[in-house]
Amino acid sequence: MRKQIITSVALMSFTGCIALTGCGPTRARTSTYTAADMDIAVVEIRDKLASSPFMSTRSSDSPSLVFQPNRMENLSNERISRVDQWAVVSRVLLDPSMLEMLGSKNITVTLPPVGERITNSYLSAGTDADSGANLTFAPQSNLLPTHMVDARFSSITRASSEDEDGGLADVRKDLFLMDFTIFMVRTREIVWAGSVEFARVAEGLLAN
Amino acid sequence: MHKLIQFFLLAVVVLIGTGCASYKSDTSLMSAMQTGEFGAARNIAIDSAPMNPSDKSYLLGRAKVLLSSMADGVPQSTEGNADRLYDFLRTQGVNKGTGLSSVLTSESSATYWKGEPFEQAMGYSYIAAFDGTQGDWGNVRASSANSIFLIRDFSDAIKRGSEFASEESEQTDQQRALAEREAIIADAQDRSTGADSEGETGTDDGFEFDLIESDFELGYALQALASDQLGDMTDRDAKMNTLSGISSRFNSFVNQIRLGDYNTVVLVSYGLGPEKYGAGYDQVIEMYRPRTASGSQRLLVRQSGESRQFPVMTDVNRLAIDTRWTNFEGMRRAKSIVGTVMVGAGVAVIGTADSADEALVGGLLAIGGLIAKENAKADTRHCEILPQRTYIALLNLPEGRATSVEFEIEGMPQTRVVLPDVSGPSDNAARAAFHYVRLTDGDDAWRTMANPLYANDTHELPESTLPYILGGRCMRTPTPELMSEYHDAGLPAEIDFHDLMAIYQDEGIVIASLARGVELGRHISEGGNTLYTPDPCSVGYARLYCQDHPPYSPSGSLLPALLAQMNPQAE
Repeated sequence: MRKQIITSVALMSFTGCIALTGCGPTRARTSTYTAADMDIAVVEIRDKLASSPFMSTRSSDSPSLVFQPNRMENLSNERISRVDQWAVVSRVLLDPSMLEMLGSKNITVTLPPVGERITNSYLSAGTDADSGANLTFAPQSNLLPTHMVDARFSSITRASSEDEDGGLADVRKDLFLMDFTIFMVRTREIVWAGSVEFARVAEGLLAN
Repeated sequence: MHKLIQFFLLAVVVLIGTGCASYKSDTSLMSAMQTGEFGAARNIAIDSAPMNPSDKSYLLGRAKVLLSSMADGVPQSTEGNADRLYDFLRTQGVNKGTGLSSVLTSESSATYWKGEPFEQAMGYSYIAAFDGTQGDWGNVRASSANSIFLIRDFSDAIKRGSEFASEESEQTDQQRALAEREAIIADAQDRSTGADSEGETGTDDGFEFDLIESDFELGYALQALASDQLGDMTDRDAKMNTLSGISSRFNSFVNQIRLGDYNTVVLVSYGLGPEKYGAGYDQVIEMYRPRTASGSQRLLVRQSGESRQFPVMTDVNRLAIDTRWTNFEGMRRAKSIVGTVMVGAGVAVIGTADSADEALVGGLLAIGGLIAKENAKADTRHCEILPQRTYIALLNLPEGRATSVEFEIEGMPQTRVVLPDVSGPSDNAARAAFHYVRLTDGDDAWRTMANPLYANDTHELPESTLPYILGGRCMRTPTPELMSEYHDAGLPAEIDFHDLMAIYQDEGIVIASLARGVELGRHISEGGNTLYTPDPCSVGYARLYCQDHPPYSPSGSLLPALLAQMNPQAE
């Protein structure tokens, strides 16, 4: 009898220990932006630019303009790889439909050398079939930009614990804001601005 | 009956013998890092890093490649590692749901390595440093901001738990740290048996603590600098105030940022970070012991006859021994207790067994218990090449013009290194330049050489010279413009640029600037197959160009033929 009790206690301890380690439901584990977030944001920005009064008032007879994008400046709490920083601005301006539309408005797009190199590596890596692969860039010579395209990425971050008694942060929410500005190089007058917001929430110990 | 017991004992020995092996630090990697042989260290780190992303130590391997590449002055070859490490550190609860496998196997076999909180903070800082070297201050701020998270203060738990621990009047730092950890565990155990918590405190796994602001100096300093560069003065001032609040030793550093008295930031590190080991009953408690002793010696930087001093920014030994920067894993203790109970019960059953069946049950229990105890041991995986300490030097260097800069730790002349070709930000650059220097002990002549012995992509020699592979002293990226210099130095006139490139190709030499995005191998001057120029503000630069190297050993067929044509007497 005594042996049965000892055996039972030991087996119950072991089983209980295993039971305590059960798995929970799978939830988002990171609040960092996803490729899909960027895709949606880029399309939204592109649509806003295409339908802007700045574009709608232009035609093929309008004075020639040259747009040069800068690398997206990261002011967020989230790290963005250099390739992604160029990819976002490139995908707004270098989408075939956008290039066609810009061409019909007598606007040429040129990239600074570093941007062209990185964008080429991004496109040649085949990151996305719709990303505008096989694009050709305007030659650098004799194409001084009349307008610069700036993009900024910022965020608001909150982290807290789901535990009512407090504890290590296990929920984090990031609200991201991506805004684009086109300004005239000569006067620095802003001719167009547009922005997109999206948010991400993740659960799980931040330290684990 | 005796044979049955013998069988079980044998099984136990075999199981324990083949059970989880504790983590073994890579001594060859540490040795290379300690002697400044960062090229060799980078190779070792790359070769030993797990290739499979599902490997539980995959990111530990990537972290080592990142650290050794940064030290060698070739951060550009490790961008992918920085990206992967960041994504992993930013993933929450990576080991959630691994509890069952943790019970059945060792923790290191079941859980992904993410490091202790201080290792995570250092990881973010190294990613920030990487981004700094790429001129991306936005990413520097993002990564450094993530390195500053709330930490757990167990002071009250230590006081309460100490009542259960034995008093010792004189304790070493290690003994005190172990006693504090045992007190925290004892308090958690006591609380789990009925005591209620009071006050606004947090609880995790039975442990009680107060959440407090981080005291990770390096994170605040990097964020202050990044905000300064990005023009966010509110954030800059907030981080500088916090830094000054942590210690008055940062006052002059903070003032220098406030005055904008710098155009170059150099993150400097020294020593090897602490070693992790298991301590206490069944070695369930994670502890660290120093490899390089802590010290408060300042960093001395000399440039253009001017000398500046900078305080120790972060002492990694301090973080490692501080309970606020340590994870406490309740599961290991539970496994240890369960294992002990099972062994006791098993032995009792065997001792009183009336039949072979009963002895079998007892034996199985004992084996299971021993396995549980063995698997309860602390997970001692750690990044053994973290530095012991870091400094941040703020310098004013001539823009776009190379100058000599010396680094040395106060009172430690063996750490002195002279970097002859450091320049400030390029002309008209809007923001400060960023570099990383890892100091080591040593007396090699190359550490203090005033001028490079080889031409490279940032340094030219006064006289024409042949490419290194042809017996000359030019380690520059070959270009059509260099051909006239090579011809002046003795290259046959009929050899043109394309012929030369064909020879490089025939030798299997990877020219880094023409192969962007690849993980660079060792330099051709050190027996490798890669031609690159490290950051001039790195120890790797001095090691490559400030000492003589043995002649290049051809491996193709074109080069020997050309050498024979150029030196017929040597045949």
